[in-house]
Amino acid sequence: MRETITPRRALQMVVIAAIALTFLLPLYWLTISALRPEEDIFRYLNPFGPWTLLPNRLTFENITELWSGSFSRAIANSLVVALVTVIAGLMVCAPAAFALAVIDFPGRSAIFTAMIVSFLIPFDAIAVPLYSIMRGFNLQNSYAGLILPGIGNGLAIFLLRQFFQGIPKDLREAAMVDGMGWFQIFWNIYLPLSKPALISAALIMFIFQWQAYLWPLLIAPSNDMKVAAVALAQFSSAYNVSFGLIFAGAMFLSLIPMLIFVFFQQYFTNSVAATGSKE
Amino acid sequence: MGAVTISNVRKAYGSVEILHGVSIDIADGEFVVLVGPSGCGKSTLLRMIAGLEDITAGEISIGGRVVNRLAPKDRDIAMVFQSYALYPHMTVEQNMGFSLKLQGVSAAEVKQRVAGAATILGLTSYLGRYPRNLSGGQRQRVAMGRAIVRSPSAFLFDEPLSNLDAKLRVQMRSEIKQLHQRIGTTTVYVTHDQIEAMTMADRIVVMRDGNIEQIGTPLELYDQPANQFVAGFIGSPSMNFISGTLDGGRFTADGGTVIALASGPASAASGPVTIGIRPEHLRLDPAGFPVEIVTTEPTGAETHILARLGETEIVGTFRDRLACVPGDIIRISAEPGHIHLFDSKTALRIIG
Repeated sequence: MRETITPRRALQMVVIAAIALTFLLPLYWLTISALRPEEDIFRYLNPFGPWTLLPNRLTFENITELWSGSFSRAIANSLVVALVTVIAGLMVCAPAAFALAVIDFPGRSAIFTAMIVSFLIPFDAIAVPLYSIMRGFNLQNSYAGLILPGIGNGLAIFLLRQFFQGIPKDLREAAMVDGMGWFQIFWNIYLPLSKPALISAALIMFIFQWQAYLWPLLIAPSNDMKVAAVALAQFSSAYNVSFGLIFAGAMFLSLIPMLIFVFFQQYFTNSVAATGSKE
Repeated sequence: MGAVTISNVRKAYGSVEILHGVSIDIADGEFVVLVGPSGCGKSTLLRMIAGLEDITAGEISIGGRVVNRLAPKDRDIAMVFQSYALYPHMTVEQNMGFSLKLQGVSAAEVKQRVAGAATILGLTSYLGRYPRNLSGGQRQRVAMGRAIVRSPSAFLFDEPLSNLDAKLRVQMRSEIKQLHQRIGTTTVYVTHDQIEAMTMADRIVVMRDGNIEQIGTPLELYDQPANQFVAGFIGSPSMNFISGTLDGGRFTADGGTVIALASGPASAASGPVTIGIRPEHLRLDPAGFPVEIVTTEPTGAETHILARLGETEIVGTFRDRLACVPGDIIRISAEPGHIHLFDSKTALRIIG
């Protein structure tokens, strides 16, 4: 049956579209600014006119300049850090979540509470003591120093634990009777059934590293090791701000997680919405 | 080989004891049903046999080996769950073969044994399907298939038919029974449904509040219930109980009605007693005692009548088609030889 569009419905759609556009506007402005000659970026802001939002000149100047510099190395660093964090993080967080969800061991709730608290503490608050620890291990300007703090992610553990708890107890009891030990139950039953939650946890850890700024700035400031967010910030210095490069860099920095998110979107919303019952 | 011995087993959660020392000897190849109202401890006992619950005290042995400290996987048992507990991400074939694969059985043999079990259960054409694409009865069969491919010492069933509709339940009931007759593996089966227990069991264990009330063959329990609880639990519609006084072989119900008993040592006692009469042992009798009809339920083959004798409601099943309406008074009597006598204080059967 085709839906008839009543005036009321039409109004709703216009309002919804307007709200959606409001959210897209900064991204749009980011994109056109990246594709404008640098001197055009702020030129049409005041007075506000059609050229504020419609670029009259397009150029790839900013982008080519961006990639010809050290930014490509920084993007590569960011990708390495984020991807290794995701892989190592899942290897740590998923078993931890399984133990917290399924195995009844002494001190379980205390550990779980500590984990919840861990993601309520702002990272900035622990950055400096963490830095002294890492320096003690001589991990400045290394991938290990960048990656290690991102591996044990309280939020990812929490999400996975909730999902694991939703898997019926009968399944693991059947598995026990079938001859599986804890690790086999985890590997053969829980992991295959938890793809949506694993993807969500992976995205959380990826974003955590991708948007990290303070920590990489402290631990890995060298030119070789700096990550994209730090590199981007350094396009503006005390004497010189190159807005063309900032906008172009910001565009790529937003684009990469966006592509990943769009690709996995269906899983992500699935697991956040329904971390509960599963037949 | 597959005998299961439960001796003086207790289960406590903290200070709350829910199984108070139960002992059952299950012979190799026997089909034993644990039955009782919910909360009686029957599922807990089964899970203790499986190794899914700790044993607080006492001893369980399977095939002559004490299993108290063994993990479920080392007990050589297979279990069928009420929810079937099939692995959702595996096909029927993988579900059935997984335990063999874990044991390190070769892929060819796994395939062969799964195929064998599938033939027995009529699942051959479903081997490639996922559990979500099966009906309830088919899932139940897969769960049984998963159990039988392993040829364990004992099968444990935990209310396996509760999730099925009434018709399928009757069908699966006889399939499980046939399966047992065919492969002869010791089976412990938990249900709250006394009809399932009566129709399937070699022996029934009736439990209540963490104690065993009686162990016996279905007909032993039916004909010689040890106490009033078993008498009321087994049989449908359940047994009628009328309390009154016994005095020199003469029973007078509390309302004053006199009911004739068979003469014998039991009825020679005196004092307060409760008599039990099964609905099918009541008959129309112009010389009997009068009861007032409350409702009639014709089922076609027979008619159930709910009637009132003084304060007590009693149910009778009659083969005759009765033309009477609520409020009518009919006269009935009980076959004296089939009246059970229970001590009013202890609820125990008075043996005669």
